Amino acid sequence: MNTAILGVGTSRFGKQPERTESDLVWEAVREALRDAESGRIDAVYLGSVFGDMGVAQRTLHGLGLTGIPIVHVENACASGTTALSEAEAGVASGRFGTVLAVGVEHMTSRFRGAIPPEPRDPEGRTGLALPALYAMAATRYEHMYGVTRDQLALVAVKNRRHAINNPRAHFRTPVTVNEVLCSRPIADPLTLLECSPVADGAAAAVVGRPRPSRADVRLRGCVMSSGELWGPDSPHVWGYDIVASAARRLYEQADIGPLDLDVLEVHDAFTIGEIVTTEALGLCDEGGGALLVEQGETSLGGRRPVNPSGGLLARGHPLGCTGLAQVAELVWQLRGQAGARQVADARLGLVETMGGGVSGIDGNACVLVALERPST
Amino acid sequence: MTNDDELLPKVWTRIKPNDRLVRNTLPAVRYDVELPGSQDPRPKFADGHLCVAACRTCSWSSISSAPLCPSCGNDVEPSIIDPVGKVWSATVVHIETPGRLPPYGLAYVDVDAGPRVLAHTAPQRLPVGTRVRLRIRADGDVAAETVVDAASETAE
Repeated sequence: MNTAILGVGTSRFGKQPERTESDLVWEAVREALRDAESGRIDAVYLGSVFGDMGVAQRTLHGLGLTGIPIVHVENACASGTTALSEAEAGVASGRFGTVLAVGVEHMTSRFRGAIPPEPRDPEGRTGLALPALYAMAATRYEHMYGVTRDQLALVAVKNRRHAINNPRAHFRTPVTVNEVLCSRPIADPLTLLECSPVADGAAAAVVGRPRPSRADVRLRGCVMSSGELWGPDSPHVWGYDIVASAARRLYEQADIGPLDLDVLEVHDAFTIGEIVTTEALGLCDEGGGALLVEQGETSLGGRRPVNPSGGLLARGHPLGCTGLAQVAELVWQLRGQAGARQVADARLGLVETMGGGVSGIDGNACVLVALERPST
Repeated sequence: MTNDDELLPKVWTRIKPNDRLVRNTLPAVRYDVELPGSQDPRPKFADGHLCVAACRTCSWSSISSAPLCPSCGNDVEPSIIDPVGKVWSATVVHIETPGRLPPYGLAYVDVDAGPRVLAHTAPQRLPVGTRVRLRIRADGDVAAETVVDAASETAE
């Protein structure tokens, strides 16, 4: 692949009810453009789940981004990385020279608590809020592998600890296993501190051809898919096979294996999500995801840090923004700019996003992005 | 006999002293609109049997209608099946969702003859593998009740 991330930027993440979607986008995009110093933008893809009609143009024209093709994309929690995937394809195909990918979500002006499930979906109408869907996976893992509530809580403890050094994150204070397990029940066995918090935020990345003089972080691989039919014949919990299939394709495309990865940002919308995903990505055997966390392998300082930014659990999860916030973190990691969160000698990183809400299939969308420090 | 009231989640209630309805969202058209019955996507029953769309060629079936089999591409036909199966997983929801106050139990039930169906249960997690029978309640939700049967398996 001959595409690169020329620059990244993000807003602060967290409850920002006094700011508008435009404020967040302006902050993220201005930082990305200053970081890239790449000149003219030829097209924009903007990911936002709950942004209304015109959210992309409405938040971008104040920056002078007008006249060029601008597209609003939605793929649930994978909207931001979908925007990146489209931007990458636009550059790779020669259709555009330089493309801006943006993700934004303003949640505090739309929701007071959990996102209400979709009334037009059979399971949504039945009351399956997203935490309940993930709770079903947690119950299965308790049954199949003996995963304990303490092990689930350790994912939140780890990611909250990582975010102490992330000035942009929503939560920057540590929590203990006991605090996690004693927090308000949401959907058994998951508690409040095992669920990513409502947050507002935006993130952006400029995609173009790599510039040797600038040592741009390279895109080593990028795959996107939707979920296959999911039901009694499916071999795994919801959200596993969509990631595992995408990972096989990505590793083949990039000519890498999971153990070549130095650092990952994965979709820990709920604690069980990180455990299932690390297995699906091949970081360990099936059923081994809880042990990875327990043994410190995925902590900063461990063999293969996962979510050094604090992940969704600590950074917050503004849906459309999240994927590009993860990309920004990995770009900073691969450039050696992650400060106290720095993973030593990080050369190859992976972003994983997966979003749901449509019943009957194994996830709405999954996007995997492999990023690489250029060899100099 | 099961007491419907025990299984039925409470609907909107007045919360004193403000005498206002409890909601978890700001007013928004997409969530406030009461969809007409034809738009209710929940499973339907006929004579105590679960209505499904079933493939004529392979084993695929679903509570959702489909114009053809999404698994093998062949024709599908409407069918009714005996609504018994076993619990694949379960949870208890402790947050409010539109029209429902917590706590309410949910379980994914693998129906013996067909699909995986999401059903309401009493607010305790049913153990994985529990044998259950599904029925439809007056409010349109599908409920799962434990089958008490000497010959049934209780765990996987």
